[in-house]
Amino acid sequence: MADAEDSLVVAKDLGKRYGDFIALHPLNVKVSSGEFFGVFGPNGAGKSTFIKLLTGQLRPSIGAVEVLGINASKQPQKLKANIGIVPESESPPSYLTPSEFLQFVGKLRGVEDLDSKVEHWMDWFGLQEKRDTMCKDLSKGQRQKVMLASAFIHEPKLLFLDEPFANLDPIYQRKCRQWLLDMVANGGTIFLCSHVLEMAERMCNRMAIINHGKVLAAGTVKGLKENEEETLEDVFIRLVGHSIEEAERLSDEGVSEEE
Amino acid sequence: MKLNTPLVGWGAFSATFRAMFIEEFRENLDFAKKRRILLFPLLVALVTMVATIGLQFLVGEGAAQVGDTESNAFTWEEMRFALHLPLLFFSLGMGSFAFLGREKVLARTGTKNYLLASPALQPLTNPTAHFAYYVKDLTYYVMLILTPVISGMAIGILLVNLVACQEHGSLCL
Repeated sequence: MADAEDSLVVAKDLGKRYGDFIALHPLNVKVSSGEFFGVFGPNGAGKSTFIKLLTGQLRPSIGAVEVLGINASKQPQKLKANIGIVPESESPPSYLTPSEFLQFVGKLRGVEDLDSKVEHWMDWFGLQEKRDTMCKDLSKGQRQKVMLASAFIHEPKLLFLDEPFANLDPIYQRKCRQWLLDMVANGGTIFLCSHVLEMAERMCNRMAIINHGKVLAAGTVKGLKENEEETLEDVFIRLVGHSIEEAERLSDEGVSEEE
Repeated sequence: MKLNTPLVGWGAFSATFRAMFIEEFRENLDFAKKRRILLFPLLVALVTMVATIGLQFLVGEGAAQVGDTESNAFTWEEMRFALHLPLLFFSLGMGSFAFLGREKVLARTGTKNYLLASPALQPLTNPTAHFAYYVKDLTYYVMLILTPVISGMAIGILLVNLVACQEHGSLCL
């Protein structure tokens, strides 16, 4: 793991609970400059909660987060001006056109030469013919492209992506994947959440597998495998499958104790 | 590493307000046609103008000009009593619209996303977004309701004065 000075993302004893429900058990994470870090886990594992805590969208119940040296809870606006966020299910505002939304986002972030950058990303994502169409009338994939463009427009050095390719067609999945890999090769950093393990194999330097808000394993993709033959899917099932059984056993025990 | 400074204060407000203003207009167009939206303030102005001209007859002032006050006009007491009924129905109508309309609006806009939610992902504070939203709503209220009401009253008063002047055969300033 990199030194603290190199780390762009530092989470210390970070945890989140809603009443009695623990969404994320306290954990420590460091992500360094130039890393492609992936967090993988089944649905409801706590991945989105994790990314929301790191980007200042949620306040932690315990612990602290520093991203780019900015305290995510205390200065969320400053943080959001310097990172790009692509959430899992958010859409751009329904009654604005893609170019109007990109103009709005660019203005808030103080992007220079905004008009040409908006045109560039509209071209890049093939949205020019939809430039006068309101976002509510776009397809899911096109709305996802608008969200990606809004995260890329200020050319951030750090991106937080939550299931970024969920609605994209294979052509744009490949195009975006290559762009992200080029970004990391040029010193950018990416923090990715997904349940698609293929992305870890293809893109991540390091990864963590979480379930029920707990980190089950973390390390390089190669390091998580017990042997050469084991696939990442095997690793995932070994770790998550086991924890599901464990959770079911604990849950059963809980019920029997109450009874 | 050089960090960007987010747009704050007037800059953030004006960018948000402008976008919200467009958003509100298009959302209204989504519910009604452009012609209806533009005719609404004209209708409000017309109703206010007619009410302004007609009010004098209701309270007897206009009727007094034609003589038989007792048979042609309400007394103030009668009018005050009679106004309770339309006010009751108006309140019931607005109340039911607020409850039922809310469900209806939610059903239609449940899948929509609005700029008010921008602070979650963009470098914009919640107070700035909410203030811009409030000012936008206030601007629409002034444009679509308050200005037509005042214009309608002004035209009504002007017309009443004009007719009165013509009847007296003198210039009124």
